[in-house]
Amino acid sequence: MQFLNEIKHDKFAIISAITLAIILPGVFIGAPIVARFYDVMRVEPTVLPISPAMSGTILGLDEMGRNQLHLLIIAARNSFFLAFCVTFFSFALGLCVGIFSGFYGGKVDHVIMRVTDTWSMLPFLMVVVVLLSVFGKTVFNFILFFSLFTWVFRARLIRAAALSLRESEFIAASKTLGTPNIVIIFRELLPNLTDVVVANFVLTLAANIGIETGLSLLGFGLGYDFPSLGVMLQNAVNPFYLQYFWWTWVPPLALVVIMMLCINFLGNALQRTSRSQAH
Amino acid sequence: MKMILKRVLILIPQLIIISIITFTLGAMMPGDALSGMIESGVCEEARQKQRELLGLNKPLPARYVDWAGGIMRGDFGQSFTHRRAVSELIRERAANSFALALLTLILTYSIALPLGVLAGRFSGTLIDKGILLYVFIALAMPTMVLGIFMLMTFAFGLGWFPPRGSVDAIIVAEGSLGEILLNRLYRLILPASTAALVSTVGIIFMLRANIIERKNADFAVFARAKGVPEGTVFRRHILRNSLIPVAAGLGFAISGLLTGQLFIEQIFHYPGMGSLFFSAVRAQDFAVANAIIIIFASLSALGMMLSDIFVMLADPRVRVV
Repeated sequence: MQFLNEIKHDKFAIISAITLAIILPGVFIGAPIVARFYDVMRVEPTVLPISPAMSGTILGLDEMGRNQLHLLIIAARNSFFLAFCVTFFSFALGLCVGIFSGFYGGKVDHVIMRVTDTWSMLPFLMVVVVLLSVFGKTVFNFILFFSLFTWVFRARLIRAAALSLRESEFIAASKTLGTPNIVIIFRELLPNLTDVVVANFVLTLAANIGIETGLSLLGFGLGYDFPSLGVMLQNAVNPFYLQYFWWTWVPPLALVVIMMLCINFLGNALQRTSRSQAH
Repeated sequence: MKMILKRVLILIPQLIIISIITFTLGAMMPGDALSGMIESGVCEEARQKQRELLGLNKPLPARYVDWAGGIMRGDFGQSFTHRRAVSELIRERAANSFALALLTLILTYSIALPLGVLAGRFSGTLIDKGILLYVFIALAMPTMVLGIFMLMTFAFGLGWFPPRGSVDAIIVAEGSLGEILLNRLYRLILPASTAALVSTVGIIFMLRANIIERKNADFAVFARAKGVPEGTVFRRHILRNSLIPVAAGLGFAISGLLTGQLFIEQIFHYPGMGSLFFSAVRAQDFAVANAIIIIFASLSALGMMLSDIFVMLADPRVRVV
């Protein structure tokens, strides 16, 4: 409820919420429908992409003869879904480690933080790229490796929040009453972490959409058989396509930017709410 | 002093852990130092003999010691696609990457500092809102997407800058040293400013928040009460204190800078370490990829250490170790 009050005064957040409320259901409902009635992945090479006007479709065809509008809907769903999974699993891992480390503190905390420090020094994008090229660019691998190398950043964030909550009066009170730690964690700590987690989850989600797009665009993320916005944008690094075939790269590019902007604005509004509640 | 020494010593276990992780990564990859060196017709017996000679049949821990010892001496192994020493390959690209990183860093701070100070000084005004809008848009823009925009407008649209490469071949062949340097700088502008536009975001945000937070700090209120004019309070007390964390972030910025360069080099076809890495992965030449990973990781470990030391020097109350 507080969130709604907060964003009422934030024009950007309202616009973003409305835009997302149109895009996401549209894409998630549209994708299965499109997949049911059209064989999107069927390839009919046409040498060059065909413009919307010439092909009589809304967004034209690419050089494989695939309908760009259908592809865009499915790609947007895939990109969002993938980014969501990656964010979810990396938060799940980070939440476990962060709470454990922050709540118990002391020596355990010290060791865990040293490990995460070192882990976070690895250039995770490069490691993920190498692992994907060794073990295959499947969706499962992508989610697995990405979560495995990004949880450290979430763990540090959650640990800091848990550490400051540990000192608060209501947790001390609960401890004096003899509540077992595990109950304290689930009943006192977790509910109070929700604000921080939700706000950062949304912001990370936006960043992950961008990273997935960047990697796939370079050909190091997902393969051609899994249409995502990044895969669609692979053409955009080709100067020839950049100059002459706008319909192959403008729509996916615009969609990526719009989705990331909206999710970011929402995340920032959420973050402000959680801060104002904290004070 | 003792604290600083302690912090420097932490670097050693960190580097060892990094090297173990990287080595494990390398051991998982297909192919080894031999796979690219020999012809397919060589018989199995000779192959085994060569493996024995290179120490490839030893157990993993022994191979790790060999490998780590090699790195200490600057020997990263052989690249089988280029058939040359990896260290040689990297040395060629490192200068290019370093130039790009340096220019990016200079541009980043020369954009971010004034904007951050303006946004903090005049928080809540139209100036602040304009700067925040830029920050949000830049935050939402993936590096690659911004790169495509820049390419479209400045390279293809307006034709001000060449879209790819680090230096003109003709100028290298015929020009003087000054001309070569100037040409390199000219070609660096587009990739470096793209990278800078993205990396300013964090600094602007941090500086703005720091200034706003310190505006009503006790020392600022006290200085105002003494009758110090607002401009002086801002310059002498608020700004100075706000800049410390920003300066400390310089070390952390290194790892972000390196990651950003991966994409930037790729989209502008700039021959640096990032594009070497991607072409190595594409060719499954993992000796090169691994070497670059360990170099990047060590650099960010070093950067973090410098940041910590700087914080300790600037504010002795902070316990980093």
